[in-house]
Amino acid sequence: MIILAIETSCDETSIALVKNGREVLAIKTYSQLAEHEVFYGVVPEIASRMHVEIIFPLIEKTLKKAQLHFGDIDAIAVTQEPGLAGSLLVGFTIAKTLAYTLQKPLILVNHLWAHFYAVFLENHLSVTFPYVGLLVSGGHTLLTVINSWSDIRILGSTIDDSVGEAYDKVAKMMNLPYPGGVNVDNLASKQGCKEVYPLPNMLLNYEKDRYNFSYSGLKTAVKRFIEKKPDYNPEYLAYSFQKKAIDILVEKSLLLCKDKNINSLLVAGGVASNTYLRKELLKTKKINVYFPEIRFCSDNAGMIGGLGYHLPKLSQKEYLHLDIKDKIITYQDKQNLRT
Amino acid sequence: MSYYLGLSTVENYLNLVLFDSQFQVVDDSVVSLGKFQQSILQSIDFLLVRHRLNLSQIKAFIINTGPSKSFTSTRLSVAVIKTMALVLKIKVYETSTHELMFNQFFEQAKPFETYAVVLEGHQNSVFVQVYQNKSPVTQIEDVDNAKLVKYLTLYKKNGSGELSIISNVVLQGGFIQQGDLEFIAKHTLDSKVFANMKYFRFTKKQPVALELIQPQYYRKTQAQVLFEKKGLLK
Repeated sequence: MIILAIETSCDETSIALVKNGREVLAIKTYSQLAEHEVFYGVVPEIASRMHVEIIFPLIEKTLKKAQLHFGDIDAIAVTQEPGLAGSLLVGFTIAKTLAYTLQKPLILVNHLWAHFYAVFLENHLSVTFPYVGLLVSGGHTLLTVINSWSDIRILGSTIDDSVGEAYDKVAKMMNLPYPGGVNVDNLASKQGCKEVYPLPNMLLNYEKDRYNFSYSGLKTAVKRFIEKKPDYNPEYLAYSFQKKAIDILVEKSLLLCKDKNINSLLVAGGVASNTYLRKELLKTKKINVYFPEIRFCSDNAGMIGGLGYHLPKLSQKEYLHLDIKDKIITYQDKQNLRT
Repeated sequence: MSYYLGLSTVENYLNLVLFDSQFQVVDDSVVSLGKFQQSILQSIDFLLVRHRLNLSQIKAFIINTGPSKSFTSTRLSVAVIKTMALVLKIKVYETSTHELMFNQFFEQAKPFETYAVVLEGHQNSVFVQVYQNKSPVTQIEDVDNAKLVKYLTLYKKNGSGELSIISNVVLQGGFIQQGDLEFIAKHTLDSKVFANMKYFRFTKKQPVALELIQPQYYRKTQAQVLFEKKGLLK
């Protein structure tokens, strides 16, 4: 089965053709980094405008690269949730219209769960549920239990900033270029870096917030530190921040594995490409840890087409009236996780 | 038999019109779009089903690429039409909200008079385009409310006849007071903007290459405006 997949949940416009859920026949992704760089963050209206401008040539180029035609496509898969409403709408509307015009089924994908599926793209790794899933990105920091591709339960979340957001904000304080995460990681990865500066641990109650995270305190601590010591060593500060930000992810992921007696961990999302996170988690011998290839860590349509293969194929009658869902986890959901 | 399908979104309303090959209206409906504008595709489907047609019987699309107060509805209507046109290789004609609005007065418009199409914009501004001799003499422009009277007066002086305003803006209670301009008539807009397609023959419109069809916003985003003010954007 060949699926044409569309992902436009934030600032990446991505189209892929995926065969039988595993083989990425062609993928084209346009990152709007240059358009948003000056704003040091994604401007939703600019993102929506860019998606509609870029997506049609991208569809044609992807088909050409795979040497396929619209007639060769068996289904359309698209990110339905979560993301920026305006961005999601562009991809979702085009996917629905493609399915309608080609008279093919439509598959609706949660792009966060697709990040986990990215581990299984372009390889023969067998899927053996259950997994603990750690999702770390600019928008989310989630700990989940994956019982099947249609049964993923959120057991922990950040109660304020996501880890990726904290990286970007700290990078901005340190006057590093956008996007900040990768630049903090690069600085912190330099030889000889050590945890010199005393930044606080995440102060969360281990019973109430057993699987939850909080990054606002750490972010504020970095801000105060820079104000007090403007002649700081950037490499040491990057390392000190990174250690605090990542160690807690490692610790709580392993805790959830232990509590649930699950010995396999999937790590996904943009921050899954962080070198320190990869190194620390791969050190552990207690569990099996799986990461996607670096090229499938950030938002991409390959993972949408991959996961889509395993999800319900909707008929025109079923999808025509459907909408996007911009939020996956509400404030109330977060409160409910704090038990 | 082949048909033309016209699609326009102004503010949050979708006007969908089916014409026969002689540009006679077969169906003309106005739909209020929902929160996420997903009714665009549904409305097309409903129209096709009602007339027992399929998309392959559509000879060409006529799409209004803007401007509209709702960027999203313009963007999504363009997205729907471009997708269908790309897959089925259907021709697309492009029009603007201003052209459609002026078109409603095409037959009654006097050749030597000046007509300003003034449409509600965003945050204290209006989208304006001026027509003389039944043709546009300006680009569509985003004009600050406070500068509108001055802007229009310029065209009144330059025009050889009277100035009429075609507008969806509440002029009397808004920023143009009776007496500010010696306009002879204020025409109210019809929500069914495809009411008169005779201008299509008059202007001898040609289909537009798909890659050139883009939503027309005529306004920068708030972030761009803010950063420009701060001198952070070129």
